[in-house]
Amino acid sequence: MDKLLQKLIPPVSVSGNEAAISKVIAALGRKYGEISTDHLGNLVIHKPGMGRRIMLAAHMDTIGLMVSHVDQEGFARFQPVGGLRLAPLLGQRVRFEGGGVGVVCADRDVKPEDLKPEVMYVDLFGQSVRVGETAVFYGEPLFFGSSVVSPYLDNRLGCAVCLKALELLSHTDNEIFCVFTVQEEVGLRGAGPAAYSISPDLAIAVDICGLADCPGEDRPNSLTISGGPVIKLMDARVLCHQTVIDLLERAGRDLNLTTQRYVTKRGGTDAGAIFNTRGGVPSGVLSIPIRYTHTPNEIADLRVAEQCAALLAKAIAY
Amino acid sequence: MRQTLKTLCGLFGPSGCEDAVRAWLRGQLEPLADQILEDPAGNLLVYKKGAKHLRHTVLLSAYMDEPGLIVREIEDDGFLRFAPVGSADCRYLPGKKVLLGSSGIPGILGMKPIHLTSKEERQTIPKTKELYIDVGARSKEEAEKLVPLGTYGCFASEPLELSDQLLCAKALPGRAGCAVLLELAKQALPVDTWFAFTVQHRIGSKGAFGAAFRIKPDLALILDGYPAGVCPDKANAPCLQPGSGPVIAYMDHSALYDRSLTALLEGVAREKEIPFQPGVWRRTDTEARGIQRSLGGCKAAVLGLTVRDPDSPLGCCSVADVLAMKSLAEGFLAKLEDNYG
Repeated sequence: MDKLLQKLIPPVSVSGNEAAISKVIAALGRKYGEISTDHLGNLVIHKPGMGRRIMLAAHMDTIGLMVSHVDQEGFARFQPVGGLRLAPLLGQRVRFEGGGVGVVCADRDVKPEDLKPEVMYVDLFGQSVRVGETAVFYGEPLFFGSSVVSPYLDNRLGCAVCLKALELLSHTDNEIFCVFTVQEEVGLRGAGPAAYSISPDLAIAVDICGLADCPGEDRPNSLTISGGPVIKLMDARVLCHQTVIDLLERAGRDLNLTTQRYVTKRGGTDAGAIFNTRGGVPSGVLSIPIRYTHTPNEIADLRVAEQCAALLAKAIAY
Repeated sequence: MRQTLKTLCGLFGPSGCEDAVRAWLRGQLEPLADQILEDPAGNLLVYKKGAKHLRHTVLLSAYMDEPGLIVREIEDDGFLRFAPVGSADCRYLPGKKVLLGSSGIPGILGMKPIHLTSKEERQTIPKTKELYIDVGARSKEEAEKLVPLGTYGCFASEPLELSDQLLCAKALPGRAGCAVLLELAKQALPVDTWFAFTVQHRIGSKGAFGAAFRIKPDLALILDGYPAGVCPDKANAPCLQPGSGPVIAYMDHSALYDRSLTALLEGVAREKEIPFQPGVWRRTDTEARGIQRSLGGCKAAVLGLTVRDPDSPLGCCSVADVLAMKSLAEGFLAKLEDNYG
């Protein structure tokens, strides 16, 4: 898993601009099936079979920022792409798709509570970028024991889990479409069209979920970082289909894994878009628990990610 | 182009009631098209063969509707209460003349006379529900005969030319796109092309969804208007200005546009030495919402016209920008064969 992450974290692929990560995943996934890409850039690894048509969806885009204007002194103004949190962005290094590096700052007179994109800028110290160019947090994965600290575990860790599951997959009659989707972070825009083209019998979104097992008064869930794979029941965009919940929990039991159930009113994953495609697709979500979502330092337990991969491989083979 | 644009902008077509625009366009396009159809939503879909047939289906789209209003209540004394339609900017309404229904019944928007208002009222824009339309009826019955409940209305506004550069009219963001598409359809085309003149864009690209489902495009170029002055809040950032060239957008509220098609447009602009304004913002919406993600999705780019006061009775655009849009769209079609043949 750590070797996969070392390859999957670096590509700069903000929503709408997934070519770089797509290329890396295609190279890693070629051995598992036939590769194709649709008009929006969704990457599909197709493993033929006569059984059920199962779609896996892991989004490969990340949040980031896009240059909206470069002023005369060379400071770049930007707009967020996806749910970029502004406070953790301040003071960070960012890496541009063209190779440039910059530092995110706020105008001198801005108070922390008044942060908004319009009063922030990227100091490029003499480098040039173009309007429309995107940038991501500058950072590489660090591994400590079974923990990983890295930007963009959301959702490169989900991508890694899918690739690992394809590796672990034993013989199955099921027809598998493992889709690495685009534009999830800007509103689940890629998964729906992918599901339309595939027309699956069943779909599982593989994504991270945010945790509350860290200091703070408000404790909206009881998930823990090492507590095992998370099987989602509900979020703001979907009520997971019972057949998918059952499938994932059965795989957990068969592998003697502890799993965690998750009910939330917030957020959404690709399952939300896939569910409503065509005549409706029974959809569910397998989540990998992480801390500090959408910050430069997301943290996950790789043992849980390995368990997720094993569980997924089991579930799609039934 | 100038005349086409003026004619189109003069037509009555609030969202949901685009019949007059569609009928006029259809009349113009009948002799030019290889196939022409109106779908159940009211979109006008026009197919014209070009020199080459591409493996990919190409769609150019623009919308026919404009902001307007709908009569929602008739008072006993014959005054009409209304609701805005298609995100009409009601700040522009007080004191204006409007046309109601396809027969164009004139009405005026009155408000409380100045000597009855408080100082505070004089300094604020009246709420839409405080405004009323006077069609000259003396009773509810009389008004109902003229303009039954549910009648649509839009600004009564004749296009106006300011200097030889600027053209002012209502309905510019959508109709400028329609004018460009119509002028393109009059020419020999490099590739087979579908043109979609859509309905109900302004209430959430309702028409575009249906058009995309029917045409099943692989490549789409969406024409739209962008408000002048859209820019980051900083004083030193350049705003979109009429006359500075068409807008090529990378991102807006509705979509992240396809990189390859955007690059193609930029390439055409550089080759033809047409200035363009790059666009990155989060607040405007184009028909990409309906087209880019319908069915299995398609590659979409947007070509925009900068319009000052786009939702007012006299929005303002540069004729040179409209001509440049046509030239870019033309170049775009010509390049498709090399890239997507």
